[in-house]
Amino acid sequence: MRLLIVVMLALGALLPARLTGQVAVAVSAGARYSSALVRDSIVAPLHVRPTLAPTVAVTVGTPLERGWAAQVALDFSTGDLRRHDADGSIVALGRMSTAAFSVALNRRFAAGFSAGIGIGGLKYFPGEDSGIFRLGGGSIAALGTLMVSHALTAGRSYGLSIEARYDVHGFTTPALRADGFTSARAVHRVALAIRADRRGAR
Amino acid sequence: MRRAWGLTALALGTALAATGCEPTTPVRDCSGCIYDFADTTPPDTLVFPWPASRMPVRFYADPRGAMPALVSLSIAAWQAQFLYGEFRGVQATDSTRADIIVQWEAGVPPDVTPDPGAPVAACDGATTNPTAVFTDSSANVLHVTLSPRGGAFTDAQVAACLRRVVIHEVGHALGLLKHSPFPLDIMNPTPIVTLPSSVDRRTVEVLYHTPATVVPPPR
Repeated sequence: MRLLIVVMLALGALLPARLTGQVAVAVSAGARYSSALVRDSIVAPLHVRPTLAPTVAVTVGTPLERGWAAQVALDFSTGDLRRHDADGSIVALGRMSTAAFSVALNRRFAAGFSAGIGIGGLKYFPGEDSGIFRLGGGSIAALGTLMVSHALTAGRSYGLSIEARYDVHGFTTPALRADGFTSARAVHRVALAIRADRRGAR
Repeated sequence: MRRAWGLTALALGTALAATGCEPTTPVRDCSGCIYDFADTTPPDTLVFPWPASRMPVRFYADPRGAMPALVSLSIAAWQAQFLYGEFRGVQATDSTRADIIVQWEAGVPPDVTPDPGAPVAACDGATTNPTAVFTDSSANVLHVTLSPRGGAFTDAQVAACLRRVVIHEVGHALGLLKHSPFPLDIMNPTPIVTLPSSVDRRTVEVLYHTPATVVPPPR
């Protein structure tokens, strides 16, 4: 988490001091929870789930009218994948990263709140081609996102806010399909992040 | 703007609906889907999978001839059967630190391109029974031996046979203690296929999720 804060501050410092036109750029960093990627039963139930993963996102937005804004976001997170067996044992399955892009509509509300809804795509990048990823990470999955943020009073001069992002996508891989899984599983992810905004000149 | 918001909400709802279905998981333990893998010494049923604490399993390959490549092939073949990291193998350079030693029983056959023709039983293999090794003795290493069979076989036929038999024997070392009755399984007594079948896969998956009755000593 400390590393993420450093990365976020570094990226924030790299943002141009004056952005052209109506463009606003934001960088956020935090942690992401993900639901199970696979649920299976071999003698006993088991599931495979990523650990709580650090996440970084860059958002570029432009205001539209009456508090609305259009945004494009690129989101990256990386963490470990683990198998959880019914007897409580946990087996590490290596590292895995995800990259997602989304386009969203965002609206500002009173008291520093804003909320958005968007769609996009997500791709998995396994650390090694083995297990559920032995035939690769699969194609880009369709993604739906919801976000809520609240401006932090303490960090107003830095454009800081706290942000919650939820997304859902269908997870499957060529190896799972080859093994007889007939369709994708809905994977729900929730990220909590600190966001730094830098707005362009108006 | 309301229209754009509505369209986005509709797209998100569609994405949610599309991902909302619970996928059907494959059936693994139906009749005929797997074969018996446990050894039986009445009244005991002996089940031996390598435990997670012993991963990766360390293989030492006789450095002569094609053996290192054969062992590498067999590790890759079995690793590819597992979805959830139940088995991982590595080649060790020191035989005293190995879990499984794979060596030639007698002479070393020439390392030639395998014959692509019809499979012939041009070689033999043997594996020490894990349940005997880990139950009744203080030994903590399994031995797999391979040998070319005498007769009118070409070097290429022997090479093709060794590729099948090394995977078969390593299957025994991984805990598939019985033979498959199905001719197209690598664990058939006379393997004619070059890789584990879907039945082999389901069987070894079930084995590695079945509670062990035989456990190797800790490293």
